[in-house]
Amino acid sequence: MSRHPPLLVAATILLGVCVLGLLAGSHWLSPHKLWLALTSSNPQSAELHLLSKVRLPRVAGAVLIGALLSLSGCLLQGVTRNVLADPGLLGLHSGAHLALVILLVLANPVAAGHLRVPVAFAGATATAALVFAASRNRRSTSRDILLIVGIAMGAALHAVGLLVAFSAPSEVLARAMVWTTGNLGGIGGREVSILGLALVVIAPVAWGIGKQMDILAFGDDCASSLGVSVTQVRLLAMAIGVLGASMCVAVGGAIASVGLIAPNLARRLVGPRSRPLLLLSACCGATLVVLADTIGRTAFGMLELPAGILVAAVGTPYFLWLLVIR
Amino acid sequence: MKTDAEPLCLEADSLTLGYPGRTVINALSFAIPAGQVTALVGPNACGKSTLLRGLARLLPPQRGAVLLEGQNIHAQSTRSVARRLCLLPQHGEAPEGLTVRELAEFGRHPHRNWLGASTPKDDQIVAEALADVGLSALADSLVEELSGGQKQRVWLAMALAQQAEVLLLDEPTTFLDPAHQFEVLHLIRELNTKHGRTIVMVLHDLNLAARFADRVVLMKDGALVAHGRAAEVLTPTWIQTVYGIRAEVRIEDDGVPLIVFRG
Repeated sequence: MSRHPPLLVAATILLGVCVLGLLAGSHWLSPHKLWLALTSSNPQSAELHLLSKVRLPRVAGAVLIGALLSLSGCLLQGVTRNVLADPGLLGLHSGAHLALVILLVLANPVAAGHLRVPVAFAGATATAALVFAASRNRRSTSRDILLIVGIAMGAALHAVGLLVAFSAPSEVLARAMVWTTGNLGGIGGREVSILGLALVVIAPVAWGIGKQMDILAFGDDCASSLGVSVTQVRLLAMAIGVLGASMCVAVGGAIASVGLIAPNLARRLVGPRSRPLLLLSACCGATLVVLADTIGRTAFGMLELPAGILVAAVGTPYFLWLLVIR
Repeated sequence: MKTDAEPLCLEADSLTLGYPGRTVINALSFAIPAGQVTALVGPNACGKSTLLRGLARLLPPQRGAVLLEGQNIHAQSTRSVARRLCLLPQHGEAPEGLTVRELAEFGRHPHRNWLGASTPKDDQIVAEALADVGLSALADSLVEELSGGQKQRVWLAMALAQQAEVLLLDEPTTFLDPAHQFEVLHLIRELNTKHGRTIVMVLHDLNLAARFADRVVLMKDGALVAHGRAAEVLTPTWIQTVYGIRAEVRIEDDGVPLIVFRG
């Protein structure tokens, strides 16, 4: 039980960051006004409108995306037994990008706007399915084959996506870029409910297979000898991991390396056991994305930097540090 | 081969094992008597580890069957088999950050429900397992900080906590110095005498096999060459046949053969 304090601290920090995210913006609210707006009996006030229609969905979306990407990272790292695995390495982003570019070429802008999320989701999951299919055919026993195929597939699809975008009218490239750089500005109530639903489905399943995931770390033979149905657990973990990450990519674009940073940070604090790790990773990931989004939309004046860029700015040095230290 | 009246717990029935496009073990039949220590020995790539994986239900047979207490092992669920049979692979790999107790606790997994909550009985069984391998004092230490011999003892504690009657061990003494090899094998012998576990282990060192096993199974090219008590199996003739080297065998005062290789 001595391992609970990190979770309590992380949850408190997350709460604090969320409050900061609600207060901060082009129009800053005071904590007192936030309290009034939340408890006000007059729902017509402009500040309540700003809160409930703009900031609350955005902060909630950031929390959900951070949590889902982190859970997905934990699951994928468990399945591949590689702590450097990240959902993005399965080529999800490139798949979503390619699907969106094709959508923009084929459909008119209004229709494309409506179809954006489902099409990006389909592109991301189809890419992951393709990566799994391609790596299953290999005789290689290397656990990293999935990631290697994923990186290659991602690079190939990215090239195809750019090729299509460059040969299309110039606004296609620009819009596809905006949609895929991890901008949380477009998140409303609908997106929050989709992400919330994904979390409600994925989190209990991930928690449920937590013990089995722990045992998978001992190797397939040992896990099987301990009564774990290795293939089923692995498929289930990959399926929910991919669904969660694809949902995030479809709604928020590429917020790379949250799924790498948060689980590794959490692992240092609570050790490798899945259940505490899943909880703490989700908290860390949510904090990271809310913080990145809040800084992105307040710290640079009129310029709003996408959360994806800020997370990547922190994530890349961290990734290099992990590679060098380990 | 001897036809003992001992109860049999694990049987290979014209078992053919292999990997896609390659047969390693061809139509092998033999039985492992309950309550004894059996050593599988033979040259590299003779199929010892493949046979062990086949016996542990980790490798589906191409033909034939493995019977656990008379029933086809592949007709039973992974969990049901795990409560009665346990395999320790050659290299136990644990993620960093697990304590000795946490690792041993995973042995209780096949006995738990899907939530995996630990009961006071589980805690007691784990504590006893740690005491049996002499690691009670190190229960809260991190596994990666232990010596090679101690690590092997943690894995044995996990296997003990699993409470399976049959223990399959793949080269339990690899990477250990002679003193620790003896220590681990003494412990394994004790699991047999004190807890009545049936043990099947792959060993490379013929002298250790002779000293610690009740029965020795000698294999070559995926086939069973000889099977019986150490003194019957580990003879200069059989060693020459299987390993292709000359050996002298002296029977020590305690009746254990001592093999000296002459090349």
